[in-house]
Amino acid sequence: MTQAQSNFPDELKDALYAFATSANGPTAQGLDELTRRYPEFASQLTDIAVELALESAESDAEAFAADEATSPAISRVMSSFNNRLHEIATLKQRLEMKSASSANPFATLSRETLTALAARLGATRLFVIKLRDRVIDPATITAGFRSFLAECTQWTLSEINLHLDAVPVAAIGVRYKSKEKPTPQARQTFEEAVRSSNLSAEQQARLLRL
Amino acid sequence: MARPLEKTNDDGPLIRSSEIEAEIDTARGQDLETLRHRAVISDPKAPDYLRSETLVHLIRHGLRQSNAEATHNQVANRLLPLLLKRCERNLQRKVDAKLPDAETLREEILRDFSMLFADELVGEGGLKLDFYEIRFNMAFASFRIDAVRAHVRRENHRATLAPGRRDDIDDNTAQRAFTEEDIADPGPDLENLITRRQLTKKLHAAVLTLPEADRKALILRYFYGYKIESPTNPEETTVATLCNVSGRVIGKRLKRALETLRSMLREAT
Repeated sequence: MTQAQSNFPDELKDALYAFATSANGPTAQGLDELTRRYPEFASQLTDIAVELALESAESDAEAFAADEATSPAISRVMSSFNNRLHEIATLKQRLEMKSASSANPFATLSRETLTALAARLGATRLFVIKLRDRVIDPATITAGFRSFLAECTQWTLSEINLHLDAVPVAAIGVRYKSKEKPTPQARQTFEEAVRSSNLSAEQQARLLRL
Repeated sequence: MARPLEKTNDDGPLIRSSEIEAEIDTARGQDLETLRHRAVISDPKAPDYLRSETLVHLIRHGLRQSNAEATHNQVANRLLPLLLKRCERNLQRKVDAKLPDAETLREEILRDFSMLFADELVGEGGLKLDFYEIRFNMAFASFRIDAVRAHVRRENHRATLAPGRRDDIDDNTAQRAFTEEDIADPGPDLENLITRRQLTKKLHAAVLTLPEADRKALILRYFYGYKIESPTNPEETTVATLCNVSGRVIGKRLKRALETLRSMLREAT
């Protein structure tokens, strides 16, 4: 990000988005809730609420003539955007090469650290092994769990995501207690993985709430 | 069916309106050239107009499918510039040209907005684009206002939304003393603001020219519906408590604001 953003905590930015985009538009009740939760920013939030109210109260903007020409500013922005995509693609390739050749971040964990990670997650070793071997369909792994996993490990969210979203690693030499060993071709949904990893009902509920 | 949104607000998970869901369903079945043609249309009333909420969804979906691989980013590379064009027009209207480095600020805002799409691919950005699929204009307004305020603080420049006199100190030169009756009836022009929370174009432009303190009092009173003050309940949130001044000062500001608006609207007719 450039400097063109405030120093509001991320949760407050989300709360402001929610306030601005609520079905009834910005309301006094919403503003009261914001200033109650973030009293140190009350004055700024009130000023922002006034600006958002004016935005909300404005009648529809005029239609502009259709025009496909791209301004120099947009060209530069798209260039930065594509550079960023290239960075991401390169990082993905690097991580995938690492995963395929040596070990993915999880695989460097010893048995003890794997167990310790399971404890921090409030899960079982079996569940952590499924994460390691990417047998869980990444499309079903919520952002909440990914953030939680990053918190419980020393890896960045980017590394977590690139690991989870990569091609599954064949689980060579890994023994599963379950009779049905996950295979790369038969990935489980996140919920299925949670339900079939010998987790208690409470552990399952906690993970599925993330 | 479009992927459900993951963000929540105080009402629960974010849900797109049925109109947006239907438009997304239709758009997902159209080819890129058709979508590009629809995205160029800038009249929201035109039959083939593609809502910005739908554009956000299509770009996100396209990026997820392509997973940042350059050769497959066609959807993003064709549609994102058109979405940015709409944002650029908005910024040209809304970011005061008198701000120092206004042009640079507009470009920074566009760049940061575009990065929300890229950062999602690596799980950063916190899925803020979900809000843009609900009400794009208000989400972008929130993003823009945050950026402009941060810029103003950094530049140590007190921006106003529109030219108007600074008014941190109350004007004590009112012709006569303020009374409650002066603001009891805001008049028919502000009725829409109170009941339907809408302003006509003329009135909106007039409100923007008010001094910041007067405008703030007006909006908190007539849009948000706060009482001016609450002598019997000091804990109650009122216009006075939000502005950190007395109810009497708020009354003066409202009186002045209403007189100014009436005068401007009379001149305009």
